This record gives sequence, structure tokens and C-alpha cells, in this order.
Amino acid sequence: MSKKRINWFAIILILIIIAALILLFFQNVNAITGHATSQSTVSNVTIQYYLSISLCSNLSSGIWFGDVSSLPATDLNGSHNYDNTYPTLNGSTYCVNISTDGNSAVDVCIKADDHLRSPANDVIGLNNETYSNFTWTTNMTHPLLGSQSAITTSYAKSSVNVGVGNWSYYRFWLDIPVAQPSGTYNNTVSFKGVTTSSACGS
Amino acid sequence: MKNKEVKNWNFLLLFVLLIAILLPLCSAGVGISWNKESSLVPENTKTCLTYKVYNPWPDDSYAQVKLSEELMQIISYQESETEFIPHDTSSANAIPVEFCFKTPKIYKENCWLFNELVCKKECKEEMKIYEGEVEIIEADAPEVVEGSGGSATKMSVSAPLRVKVQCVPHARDYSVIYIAVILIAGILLTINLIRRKNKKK
Repeated sequence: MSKKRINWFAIILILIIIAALILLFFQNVNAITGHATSQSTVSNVTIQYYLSISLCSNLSSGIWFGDVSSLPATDLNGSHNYDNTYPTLNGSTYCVNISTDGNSAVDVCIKADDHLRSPANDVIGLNNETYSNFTWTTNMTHPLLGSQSAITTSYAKSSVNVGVGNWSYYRFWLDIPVAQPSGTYNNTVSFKGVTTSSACGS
Repeated sequence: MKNKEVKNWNFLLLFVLLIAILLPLCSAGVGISWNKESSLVPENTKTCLTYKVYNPWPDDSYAQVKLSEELMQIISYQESETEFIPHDTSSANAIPVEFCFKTPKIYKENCWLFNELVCKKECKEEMKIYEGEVEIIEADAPEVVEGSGGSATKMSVSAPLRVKVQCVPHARDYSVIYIAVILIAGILLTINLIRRKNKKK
């Protein structure tokens, strides 16, 4: 009767495989250690903001300065700077309206995409296009020419903390230097509404 | 009696005049509603956020949804770029717009093999934050040329958004080594068993 030899090598290999499998299992499974009993309740609050703006129709149609026949021209008026009849005569009809369907006061940011450019690529520098704004009402005086600021290619806050249901009125002016080549010059001015004290963004 | 009638007519005329003056002041507009300004997302994870657009104004409008450049780096899905918003859509009936972000794998791992395997993560770096805005731009701005030169106008509303990428620390992952050990031991075991079988024959 032959004595059966034990295959120790195979047994060790099997033990190694089992150990590696166990370690692999615990490496990839989050082990639960111990028991704990607890009760919890959820505390929850949701803060919601909503805001809406609209440009008055004369502003959404664009800011136009008409034909200019003699140069230099200084503080050329936008075509609707003084054509409002309500609330008072000679107010501006360039305005941004903050909807009553909102729950936050709004800051209105303004920028232009570029200098005023002609199809021939002649340029009226953006520092020549200026604006002034006044919240809630407009008349002969407001928005004030003396408070004009140049429009830039980055958003800048124009009106701040305009309450829901209110208007912010604007006037626009353009200076044209004496040696400006003739042509039609255009760009795009953007208005952005953000919640008060938020940054204008890019 | 006649005086009263005239008074009524005057009042009506004044009312009509007031409406006529105010009406041209209104046009289409855009609105945005949101309830989340920041989101904490583990790295290499997809997450979706919903904003709502509305138009409480008397004219229909089309709105283009735009994410700022910082957020465009990580966007993986945007439901729609242009939304039609019917007039008189109040904030209560705002139209949802969904965005999904896939946060990148940005935090360094300490790895033993090939910069990829047997790694641990300690999260000692500062949290990476993608800060930008969700902007709703009126897409159908009329192109009316009144004069010979000037500026066309556009309008938009925006909401701030911060996507904070969370680093999830983990201990060194030896899985690859365990798998290699299992494979090698398995091969050796197979060879050993085959040899013994052949010897018996």
C-alpha cells in the first residue's frame, strides 16, 4: 500500500489565493464596524431668487445718434434722450424695467462689445460713447449729462438696487472727433440684470 | 348731468392716454429663477442642476442660455441652448433648464506604480472652485435701424454659480497587487496540479 504524499505547495498556494481574495474584498467594501442606534430629523431650508428685466421698446430698438454733418460733435444726443412725456415732459424713453414678478432688487450692468466701427473698420473709440442713468423717474434734468460715464467693454454697474416694479432711465451721448472719416458706425450695448450686490460677471 | 358726462369722458381720455404712453415702454423680457448658487461635487462625478426661465412681460421671447467660460470647462450636457418663453409666463410657471457637469479629476494621488496604480489620496491641496454664472440672454433682439449710426442693444439676466470640486481622500489601494498575487498563485497552482497528474500517469 503506497503512502499518499501531501501536496504542501498546492495547499500554500490555495491559502495565498484565499488570503488575497479576503484582502481584496475588504479593500473594496466599506466594512461596517459595530452597531449604533440613533434617530434623526431633517432640517431644511431653500432660498429662492427670481428676477426679470425688460428694455423699454425705444431702448430695445437700439441707441441711435442720427446723421451728423459737422465735426467735431460733442455730447450728441441719443434719439430718445428727451422724448418722454410721462411722468414729466422731456424725459428719456431709454429705460430698463424691473418686473414686479421678482423677489430681489436688481443691479443693472452695462457694457459694449466693441468700439463703434464702420464697415471700413474706421473706429470711434468707446470712450466717446457715454451714458448717465437715474432710477424711478425722468425729466429734463435726469438722467444728468454732468454724471455721464463712458461705456466699457467689461460690464460695469450702472443702476444699483433698483426695486421690483421700478424703472431705471438712461441717456446716451456720443462725441465724434474732428477728423473722423465719414461712414456708419455701429456696436452692440448689453444690459444685464443681477441681484443686488452680485458681481456683473463677464 | 352734462357736466358729469364730460367729466367721465375726460377721465376716460386721461386713462387711455396714460395707457398709450405706458404701453410702448414695455417689450419682451427675460427672467431667471434659481435656488442653488453653489454645488459641492466629488471629483470625476457627474451632477445636474436646474435653473428656471420666465417671461412675465406681454410679448413672447426667445432666450439663449449661456454659461460663463469658467463653467464651460466642465460642462458635459446642456439640455437646450435656446428656449421659447411665452408671454406672461410667471415665475411660478417658469420653464426648467437643466445643465449637467462632469467634474474633472484634479487632485493629486500618491502612486507606487506607473502613476496610476497602488495609489492613495491625502487631499492636502486647496479645494478647486469653478466660479461663474448662468446667463439668460434675450435671443430675438429686434434689429431696427433708426438712424445712420449707433448701438444695437441686448439684454440678459444672470445668476451666480459656484461648482466646488470635493476631494475624497482614500488609503492606498492594494487591489492590483492582490489581483496579481491571485493570478500568479493560480497559474503556479495549475502548473503544479498538471505536473502531478502527468507524474501519476
